[in-house]
Amino acid sequence: MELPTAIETNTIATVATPATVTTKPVDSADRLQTVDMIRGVALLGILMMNIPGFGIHWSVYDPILKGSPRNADYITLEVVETFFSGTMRGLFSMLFGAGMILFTLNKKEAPGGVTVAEYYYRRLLWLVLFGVFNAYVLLWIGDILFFYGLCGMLLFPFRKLDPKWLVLIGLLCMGIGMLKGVLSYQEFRAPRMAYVEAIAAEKANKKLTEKQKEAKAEWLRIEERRKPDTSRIGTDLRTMDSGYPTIFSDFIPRNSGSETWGMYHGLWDMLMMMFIGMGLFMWGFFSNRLSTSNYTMTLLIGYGLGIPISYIMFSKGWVGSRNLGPYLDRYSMTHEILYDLRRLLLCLGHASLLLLIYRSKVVPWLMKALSNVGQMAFTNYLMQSIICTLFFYGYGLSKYNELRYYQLYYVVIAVWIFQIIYSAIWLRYFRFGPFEWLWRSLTYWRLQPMRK
Amino acid sequence: MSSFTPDLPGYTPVQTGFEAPADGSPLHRVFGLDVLRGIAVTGALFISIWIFGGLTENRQNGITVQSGGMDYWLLNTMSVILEGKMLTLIALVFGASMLLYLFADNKFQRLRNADFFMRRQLWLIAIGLINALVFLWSNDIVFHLGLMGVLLFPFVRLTGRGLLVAALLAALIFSGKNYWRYADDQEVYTKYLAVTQVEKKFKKDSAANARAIAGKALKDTSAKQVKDTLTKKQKNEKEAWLGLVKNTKYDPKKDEEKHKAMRGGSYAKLWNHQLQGTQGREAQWTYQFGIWVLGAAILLGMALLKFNFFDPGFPARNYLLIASAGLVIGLSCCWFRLHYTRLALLDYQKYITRPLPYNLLFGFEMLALALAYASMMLLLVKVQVLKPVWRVFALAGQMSLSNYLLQSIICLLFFTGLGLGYFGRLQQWQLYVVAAEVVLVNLVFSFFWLSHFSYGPAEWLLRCLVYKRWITNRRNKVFESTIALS
Repeated sequence: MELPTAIETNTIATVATPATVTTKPVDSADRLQTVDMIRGVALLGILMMNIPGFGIHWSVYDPILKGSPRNADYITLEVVETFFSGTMRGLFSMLFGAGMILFTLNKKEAPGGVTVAEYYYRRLLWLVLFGVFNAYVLLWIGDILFFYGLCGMLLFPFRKLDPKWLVLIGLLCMGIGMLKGVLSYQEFRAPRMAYVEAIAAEKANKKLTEKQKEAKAEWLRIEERRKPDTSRIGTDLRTMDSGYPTIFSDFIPRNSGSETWGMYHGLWDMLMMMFIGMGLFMWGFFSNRLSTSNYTMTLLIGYGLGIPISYIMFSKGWVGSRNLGPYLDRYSMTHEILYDLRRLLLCLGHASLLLLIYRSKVVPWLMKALSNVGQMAFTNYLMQSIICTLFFYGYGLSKYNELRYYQLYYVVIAVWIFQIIYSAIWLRYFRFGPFEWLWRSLTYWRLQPMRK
Repeated sequence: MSSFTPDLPGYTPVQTGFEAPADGSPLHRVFGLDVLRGIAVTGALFISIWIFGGLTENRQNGITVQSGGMDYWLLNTMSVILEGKMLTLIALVFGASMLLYLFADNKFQRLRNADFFMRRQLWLIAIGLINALVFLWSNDIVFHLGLMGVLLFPFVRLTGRGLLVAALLAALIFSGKNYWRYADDQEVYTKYLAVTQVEKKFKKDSAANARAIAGKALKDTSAKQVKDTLTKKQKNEKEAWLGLVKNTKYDPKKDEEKHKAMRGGSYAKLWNHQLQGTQGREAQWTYQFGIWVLGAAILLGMALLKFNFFDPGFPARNYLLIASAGLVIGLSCCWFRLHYTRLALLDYQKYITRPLPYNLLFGFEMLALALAYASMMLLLVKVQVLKPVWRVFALAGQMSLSNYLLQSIICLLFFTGLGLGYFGRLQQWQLYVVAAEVVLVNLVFSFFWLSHFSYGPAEWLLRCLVYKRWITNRRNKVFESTIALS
């Protein structure tokens, strides 16, 4: 979503920003085109992970994950989970961190005027509000803008740090996230352990203590609760097929729950990638500054380690944990612990691959098309919410839970094509995407020039 | 607390120089702000002590429904005078100090280095987390002030009037949120009523059945009886309401588990016990209420600074006007709150059918009374009554972060099983005595510390962290007498 995009820094900023902040054009447009291109890929890619959230009920996963038959649904899920899950969001976060550096360092302050810091924080506060809008009004439960706005506010004091420190801080955030994961898994596992102990005592024909009886009952309750509750599913489906007011009020507690959890417990996931992204950007990683052999090495390491880990996570972790009891007995630590690590590796792999393709100049038209999408990332992200909610929810075409899992990806491809074409046409006539324009105008509190 | 606030050394005659604004304009510490901060931080303890010492909501509920008696009057008096007001005052002073820190003394034109400010806010968040997760004070406020400073940074350029409107808006949203929560409870009650209707019908039916069986000796009534139980959903709806009602009733057994947990001697167990409360406070409360309550107070503080409210030149007449208006508004709101709280606790079912919740105006009550207190105290400072008292509180206010943390540590050692384990064992009045003792420690500690050092220990650490350099804290001998005389 970050937006100091090429067009902004090169052509517009000098015209558009109030006189007190002058902006220095970035040396080479080429440098930023790669950033836009990767952002474009991340933006389009993110829909792969979001589309189930828009289009199907979570209970659909149960039968798919049984893995037999190994049908189109299963294979699609396997591919998406192994290669992409979490990585597009990761790239997005990385480029958000990079964009923050671009935004603050490209502007010189005139004494006595509104400072860059103020514009930066105004901009992020607006982003938080856009996130609230996306979640509560457009009704997208998986909104990230809210969190990006908040996380971005924490980045500012770190922007001048040495890149290696930034990467270290990023890894530290990853460590905190992992630690929280370990702790919550242990907490989750505790009732099962108590249950196993009680069962063992029972088998040994010992009389169960009150505590053991309670432990046994507790676990059985947990298992009971995990069973798909058909009446609950029915209610959910009816809600999604209803009109706007019903879905709106149903989403209020869900949104506030996820925003609360995310801003307090979930932000490590984003902060980690943002810090690492800042560091990598300073090293020139995203701006095509590294040597081809460096990118190739990163690609090999990223994919070489990332893909196997990712596959194990999916096949053993995701699929394995469907059978929860035995999984908890077997593993004292969850596979989820690897989530951020493999995400980071795959992000590096994806970015390197994209940069190598860019460098090889085999598909320049595609690169251009993707960087158009990336330039309007903010608009395109919100537009995905608009399109998908109108397609799936009851107040639109009401296709919720009507497609098979793999069929969702037909919708994804259609949206991709639409966004690629739309972005190219729009940017032919206008300087920014519509929401970018709105955001800029709000940040600087004056209407920004729009037409080219 | 002071270090949530300006680093500007002022009547502390030590100036290390590096934090001076670029144009070298003089720095000053605003005496009135320090007084208010000192009073707020020490005053807040008299409410916090409820939580520190185990005067749980359950126990408070029991006291509120009494008809008179010392406990009743004490609790209500404290609630009128202090509850929420001291917290608001802390936030209000924080807001004013935020502007002082950012603009120094240049008429809100030129922003000082925002990096220092942001770094400071992040460190405050970190210190807040330490206070909550290491000193185990689950109701820590430093975390929130750190966060709110970041969130409200974009508002520092608003005019005084704009800030005032923003503050009122935030308070209004807080009212809305309270109302909303109340409306949720009302809905729970409506659902409960619907379920009871169904149940009544069952009873009639089964009574009829029983008569029928008795009269005609019908053989098969099982079909009817199966229908005579509530569905899972209905049961949940019934229980939801009964749970709400039960929560309002004093239950002497309810706190037992908490007592045991708080009085236990293991740090790890205590940590685990406190964690839930801490996270609830830092996540849910912040998201739903904290932003608006604290936001309103901070914005009001900023507005007041822009209206020169804290300047010695602010007219005494205006202080008087603001104080009386604040008292009238605040006390009316407060009456509304306490009156309806009592009604709610006496009969929740009756209360829930009323149109408005007891805490609808709480936000305005806090703002109005905090404002009234600030006016009165600044007026007294201005006319130089009780000078030595204000001076002592100003010293406590100058190192309020240290004092605040010290309160957590003392209470941790006094109330939990790590120390003397008095949690839940003291009467209400005894808790206030403890609070008063702790405040006394705060005041004495501040007085002696500041006669040897320039900054409180936590303030000094924070400065070192923010400016990323070692800062000399020892007070120069020459200045030692100045503070005693000033």
